[in-house]
Amino acid sequence: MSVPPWKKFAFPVFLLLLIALGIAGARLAMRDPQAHAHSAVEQLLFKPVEAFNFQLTDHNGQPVELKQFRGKTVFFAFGFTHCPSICPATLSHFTAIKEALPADVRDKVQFLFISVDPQRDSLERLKDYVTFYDPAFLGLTGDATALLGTAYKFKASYTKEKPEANDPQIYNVDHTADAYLIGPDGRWMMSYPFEELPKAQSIAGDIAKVATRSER
Amino acid sequence: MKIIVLSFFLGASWVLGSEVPLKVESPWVFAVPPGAKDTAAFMTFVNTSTVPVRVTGGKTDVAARVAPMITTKTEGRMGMKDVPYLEVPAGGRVTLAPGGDHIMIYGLKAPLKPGQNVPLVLTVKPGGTMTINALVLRREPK
Repeated sequence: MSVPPWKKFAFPVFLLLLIALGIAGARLAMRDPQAHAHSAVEQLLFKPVEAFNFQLTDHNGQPVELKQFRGKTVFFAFGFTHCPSICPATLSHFTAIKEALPADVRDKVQFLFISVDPQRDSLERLKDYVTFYDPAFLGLTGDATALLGTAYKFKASYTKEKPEANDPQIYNVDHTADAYLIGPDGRWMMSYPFEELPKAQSIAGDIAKVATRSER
Repeated sequence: MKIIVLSFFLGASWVLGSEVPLKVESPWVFAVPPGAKDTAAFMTFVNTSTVPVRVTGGKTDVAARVAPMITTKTEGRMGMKDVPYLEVPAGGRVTLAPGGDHIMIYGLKAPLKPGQNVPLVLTVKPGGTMTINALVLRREPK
């Protein structure tokens, strides 16, 4: 039985093609690792969006809106003070990020922690909590509508979980734990997932870039 | 010489070794603001045995209750869930860290001071109990 010549070559050709594809793929993946090392903020700087304003109350009882921080770079996250693991981690990462900022940039950055648990987080409690990490950190909260609106604008979300049967004051609040970077011009530059927050040096680099950019 | 050293270690582990087939590395507790009543302990468990080992709970003098917990992620929202135990596979390691599994400490009787050691009694199955000292830290160690 004779085999047509195309059939004879089909498999080796197929193999060669596969190898060529593999090499091309690997080259693509490895192409210019420097370009990949550049932080994403540089690419995003070209099309940042105007951050929606929010109106809340700060831990000193003063009404506060995002707008009034114009000129400052804002870095913030959502949480609640009864949060035993995620929020202490977030806020301690904030302190590390602040430390990693160049000294001349540090004062141009406002760190905020927005409590989504107004039922239990009094302003006084919020202040004690937030300033434990850094006296210059500012806690914000508001009524349910204001908080829901604020979270919605940043694609954040939270839900109050079922309280314990014997105590309605004991409950968890599930919440997204991203951190947001707002430039001094009020534009939303970046979001960092919780898992990225330990990278204090790289985030501080992004913040410094954003904070000094508008001065040009 | 090698044999002497080896037999020393074997001897030491026989003398000191309890029946708890679990080693705990770098235990620490998150320092939380004075008003916060709950915190969490983190550590690495090393299972030195050939069977899975479970940490089912524990107790501490500094707080009302100790319980194993996991972190959940639902549609991006992070939350916590009580679990009956944290399991360490045979011969395996499990690291507890913020954003992941932890030993929850409920109802602190007094604020913990950074640098302080918190004695923690863990219930391990099989094994019994083991006491560890967890260091209170303001930040997750690198």
